[in-house]
This record gives sequence, structure tokens and C-alpha cells, in this order.
Amino acid sequence: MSYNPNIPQASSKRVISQRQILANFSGIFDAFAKNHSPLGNNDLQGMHDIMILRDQTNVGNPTTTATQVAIYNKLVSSVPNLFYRPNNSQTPIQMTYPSIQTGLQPSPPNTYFPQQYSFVAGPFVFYAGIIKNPSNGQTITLTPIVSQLRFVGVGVTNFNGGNTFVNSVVASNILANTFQIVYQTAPPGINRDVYYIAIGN
Amino acid sequence: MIPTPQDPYNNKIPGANDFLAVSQGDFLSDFGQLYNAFVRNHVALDAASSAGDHTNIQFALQGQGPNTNVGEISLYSKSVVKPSETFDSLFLRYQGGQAAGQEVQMTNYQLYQPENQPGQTGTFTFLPGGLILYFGFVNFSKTNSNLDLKPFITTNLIAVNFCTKGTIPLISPWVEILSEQPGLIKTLMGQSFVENTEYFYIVLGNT
Repeated sequence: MSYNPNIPQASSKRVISQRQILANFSGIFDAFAKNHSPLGNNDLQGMHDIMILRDQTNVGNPTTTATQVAIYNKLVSSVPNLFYRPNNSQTPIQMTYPSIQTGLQPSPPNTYFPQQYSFVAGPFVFYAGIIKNPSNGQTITLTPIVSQLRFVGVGVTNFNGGNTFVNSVVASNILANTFQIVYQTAPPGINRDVYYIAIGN
Repeated sequence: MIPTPQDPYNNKIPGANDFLAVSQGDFLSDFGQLYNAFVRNHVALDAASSAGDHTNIQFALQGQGPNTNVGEISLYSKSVVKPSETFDSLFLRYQGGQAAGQEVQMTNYQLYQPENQPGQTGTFTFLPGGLILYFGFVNFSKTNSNLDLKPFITTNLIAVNFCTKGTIPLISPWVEILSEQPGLIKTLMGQSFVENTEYFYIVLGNT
């Protein structure tokens, strides 16, 4: 029997109302147990265990007053994402990106991804990694694909040329999700790795 | 304010044979407990307006993340156990059916202003996925060409970038990992820098 907010009726017999009231107390208990520490535990009841957010795309962005903010789930290209709406119903901000790649890679074990990406609110994709001994003019392709790279910074490490050669590198020909690594000097036999940090949206 | 009932919430009342005199006390107890539970993290049931709205979200620590269905995402807290530190963090779980990276660590360590090192002024923040982002400016010298990564919780260096801070464009320095304790990267050593020149730096690492 599902929750019924319209019981008991004045004309109901007690034997009927008893079942209805019991069902409502039980229904409240079951509903509240979702996402919350269950009723009956006086120390924790009411606190959240988790917070599962259901798609609010059809409902629309929640209205916020001058002293309220909201977080909620809305689909972007059919994928749920976390949104934040500032007070006074200001423009909603997408807080998440649908994917991420950080940390250890599956294989080989205990080895970090040499190229990783995360996200920041906007959403912007935040790329970073190391390219092992790239050639002069080598094109680096970043994934996931974004519409525009807003920032690319490159730097050198593991340089074996000492102070004999000028060790300078720039990111050139920056396109939607690619850029080229260009050295000022690239004499034969000189190796170096290149760090990059890029931000796109 | 509802007086605190003595008995915990009971979802098994009223009994079929209970007299109303018994049920009335049970009802009062359950309604009181329901009120007390709901007022935690929510606007109270007897509030003049906005009853049911959340006021904040307190997450009880979870052993593992929940399952999510398609169309759902979830937030929860879980412990992160690292060689350097064990701390609780906010996690996001993508919808059911998502491929790699289903569980995303959204926060990382506690934020504070690290004590500045000689020639170095910096701070740090975090990115989702257990990343730490150091940034600031550094002035390498003959006696100190180190860039410290405080707090010392970086287990893997992902990328480093320098840019001249000043009015004269200069070649950016490059770095080597100076000393790597087992499992932790603490210090980078600047190379090919121009002395008495400040450089902006940004460093991204895994924790």
C-alpha cells in the first residue's frame, strides 16, 4: 500500500484507518531511508548517507531566492551532469564534465597515465601530461575533443643538452584540440621531454 | 519546536488491536521523531515557508560508492587512503553505464596557505580526480634553485610550466625531480634559469 496523504477519513472505521496509518508510517520510513540515515537512529537520523540526484532536465533549473543556492542534475547531450545555480536564479554553472582520466592506468600496473585530464566548473577540461622526446613540429592531439583550447603552456624537462644549446619551446598552431611543439633550436642528438598544461571548453 | 520523544521512530504502529489511548502516544512519538529527523539538513516541517528544502548536506562516511541508474549521479563521502595521509573526501559517481572513471574524487586534502620558502611564494588547490595543483612564483638563485611542492603529498608529477614574471621576456627554466622519496615527490630543481628573476609556476600532480 503506497503512502496516502488523505487518511484517515472522518467516516472510516478504526480497523480501516489502522491499516492506512500503519502503511503511511511504514512508507515514510522506507522513503526516508533513501539517501538518509534511517529513522529510529536518534543520533544520525536525518543525516545523509549519499545524495542521488535524478535528472531535472524536464523540470527545468530550480528557482533560487536571494539567500539560496542549488545543486542539481541536468542532462547535457543526454549525459547527467552536476549543476550549481547561484542565488537569485542567476545563470546556472555546469560543475562537471562527463568523463575524466586521472591516476593509475590499468596496464602496466602502478603506472600513472602520462597524459591526464580533469575538469573545472564551466565546464572546462584541464589537460596535462608529458610527451617523451617529441620531434620539432610534432603535433599533439588532446582527448577528449573540445571546441576550443583557451590556454596551452609547455615546458621542458629531462634535457641532455647542458648549457650548450638554447632550450626553449613554444606551443604553436593551437587549434580545437591540437597544438604543435616547436623548439628554438633542435640540434641532432639532443633529447628532451615536454610537459604541457592546456585548458579547453 | 516539537518536544523530543523518548522512543525512537516505530514504523510498526499502530497495531491492529491497539486502543486509541495507546496509539495516540505512539503517534506523538513517531511524529516527533519524524520532525527531529527531518529538521536535520532540511527546513523544518513546521516552518512558515520552504519546509522540505535542504539547508545543508551532511554526509555520513560510506565504505563504498552507491550504484547509480542511467540518468542519475550521486554525491557521497569516502575515505581516501594514501601513503602520506588518510582523509575523507567528497566523491561523485557518474550515471550507471558510464565507462571509465565512474567514481570521481572531487575534493582533496585540506586547503591552507603553505609557509613560504626562500624565493618561493605559492599555494595549492585541487582538481577532480585526486589531482593537486601548485602555483605561485619562484626566484631561483645560485644558493637555492629548489621549488618545493608543499604539502608533500604528490606521488606523481604530471606537468610543470613556467612563465617569466616581469618586464623582460626570458627563456623559461626547466626542471628535474630533485629527490624522490619512496612514493612522494617533494622538490623540483630549476635548470637554465636566469638568476634574480621571478617566474610564475604551475605544477600538476597526482596525490
